[in-house]
Amino acid sequence: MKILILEDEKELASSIATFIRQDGYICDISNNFADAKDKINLNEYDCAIVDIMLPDGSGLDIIKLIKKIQPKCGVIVVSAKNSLDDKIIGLNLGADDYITKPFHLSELNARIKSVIRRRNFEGKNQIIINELKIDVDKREVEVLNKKIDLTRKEFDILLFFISNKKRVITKEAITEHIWGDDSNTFDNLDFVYTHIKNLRKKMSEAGAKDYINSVYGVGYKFSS
Amino acid sequence: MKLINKISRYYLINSVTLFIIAFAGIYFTLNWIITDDIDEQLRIKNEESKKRFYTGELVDDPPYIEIVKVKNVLKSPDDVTDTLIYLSSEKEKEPFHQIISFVQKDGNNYKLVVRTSLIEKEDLFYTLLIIFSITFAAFVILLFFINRKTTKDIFVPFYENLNRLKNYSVKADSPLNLSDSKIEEFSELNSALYSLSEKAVKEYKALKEFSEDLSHELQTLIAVIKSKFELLLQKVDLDEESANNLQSAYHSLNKLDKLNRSLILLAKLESKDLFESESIKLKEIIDKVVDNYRDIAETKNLKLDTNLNSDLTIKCNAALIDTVINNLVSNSIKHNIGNGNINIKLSGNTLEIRNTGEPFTGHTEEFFNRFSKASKKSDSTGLGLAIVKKICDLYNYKIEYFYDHEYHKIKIYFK
Repeated sequence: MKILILEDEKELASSIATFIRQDGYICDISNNFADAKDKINLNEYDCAIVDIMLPDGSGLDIIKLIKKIQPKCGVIVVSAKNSLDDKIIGLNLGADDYITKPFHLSELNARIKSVIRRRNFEGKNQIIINELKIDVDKREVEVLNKKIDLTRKEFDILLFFISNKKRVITKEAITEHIWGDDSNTFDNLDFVYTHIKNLRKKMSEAGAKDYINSVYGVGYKFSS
Repeated sequence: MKLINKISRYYLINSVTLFIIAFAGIYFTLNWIITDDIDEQLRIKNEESKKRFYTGELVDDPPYIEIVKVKNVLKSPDDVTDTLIYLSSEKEKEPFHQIISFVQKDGNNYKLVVRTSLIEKEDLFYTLLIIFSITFAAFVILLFFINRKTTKDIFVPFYENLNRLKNYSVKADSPLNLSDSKIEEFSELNSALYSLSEKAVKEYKALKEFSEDLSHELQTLIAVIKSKFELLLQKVDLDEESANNLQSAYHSLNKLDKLNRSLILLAKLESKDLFESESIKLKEIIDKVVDNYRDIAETKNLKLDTNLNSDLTIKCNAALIDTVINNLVSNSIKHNIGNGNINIKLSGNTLEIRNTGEPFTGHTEEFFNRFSKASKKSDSTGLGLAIVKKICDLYNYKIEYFYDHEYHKIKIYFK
């Protein structure tokens, strides 16, 4: 998988690249409009992360260009403005998703995975990890070919974990992913623990390995 | 006290003093002149009486002329003295001036007393008093009418301008508009106010731009720091202490992020035009938010009840109304007590969210202010309710807060 990161803030671009390279993805970084244009003309990408505000142009034009010459490439718009206009314009131009700065790398990573899955596994959006089979579209999980019943939130947490395999995911990132941007102001995020406890219990009762480990007080890690 | 009343009061106090002084001055001067005149006439009368006494024309006419036969002649002062004499006509003792002289006629001694009544002096006093009182009353009535006229001609435009000033806001798009005045002081005041408001608007805009720019700069920096933290957390060889330090730094960073986002939103909430409106079924939004938070309430052992029996549809921005409901519901969970209650009721066009909780320590009016936190220990940014209030203000929804029987109650009246 080849990803283009178009972001003028070099440090942020390098963080994103480091984080997603862990899954063996190849990342190209572009810090400006002109360079991005060249890269898009030269290489083929599976997904592009496009910051709208660039010093020498608008990311929206890059989206147009990608959609024109590489229609298969997924696009995630990044904006610092939190403005609905950018979101609507970006999505209307054919972007697949939209994320506001600052974001959790795990959140961006999950979205990249989701975009790639949607674009590559036509009709059969499945993830298989050892004894686990997850049907993303049907929102079903099977352990050893036996369906287990998960609540909506448990399913979303599991999918978030799987998208961020072998990485420490903070409780804050999980909270924002599941309960929304406004939810992480709670002093204590114990309610996350309750859901993860139930998820682990349901999975191990069905005979799955315990993949989810707690990492000190920081968060959790899904290791396959 | 109103200016016009203050001025009138000065006028009244000063004119009363002036009237009293004038009255005393005129009275004593006139009194002196009249008394002098009376005494002069008394002396003439005395001389004449003596002559007439010798010629035998003089007859006793008490109390004005008295002729008494006396044995001994006392030393006669031959000058004016005061005395009081009972007058049957007035039924009281009245003041008189008199001259006593001793005369001899046919070998007998006589005491001759000539008197003049001073009643005229009293009359003078009362006459003067009446004149002054009438003048003073006329003055007060005149002052009253002058005040009324001034209030109408000068102060009505003044109050109108004052009212416009009260309703003026530097945030408004329309510039300050005052009605012109021909009075120099007021027109000077107007031009001073114009330049003040211009300056205020300019500085307000500059400050707003500055804080917006600052927030956006911060946002990028926070994004970088946040991503670096996440990378650091991936280190496998992290010991527990470092993990804890990282965790608390990361936690604070998230708070900073949230705070900054809230400030950006607050700044954007100045104008409705920035947000597209659509028709929204309030019940659906509340159901969605409550559904999202129900598990969090359960973890905290809170009983969350909803009673939504209104099909109210409002026209506003979906993200904003979502923020309002989100903030209110998450607040009711955050600022609750163990085994507490949350009741959410939507009826007619009124939404009421009430929850148990520690009393709010500040003033009720400050409840929606920025950074006015219910409890110090809370981790919240202190901007949630300020945002709610501002969104309500933007759409002219009335919002109220009460604390009643251990319950915090927030009511929003949608239009």
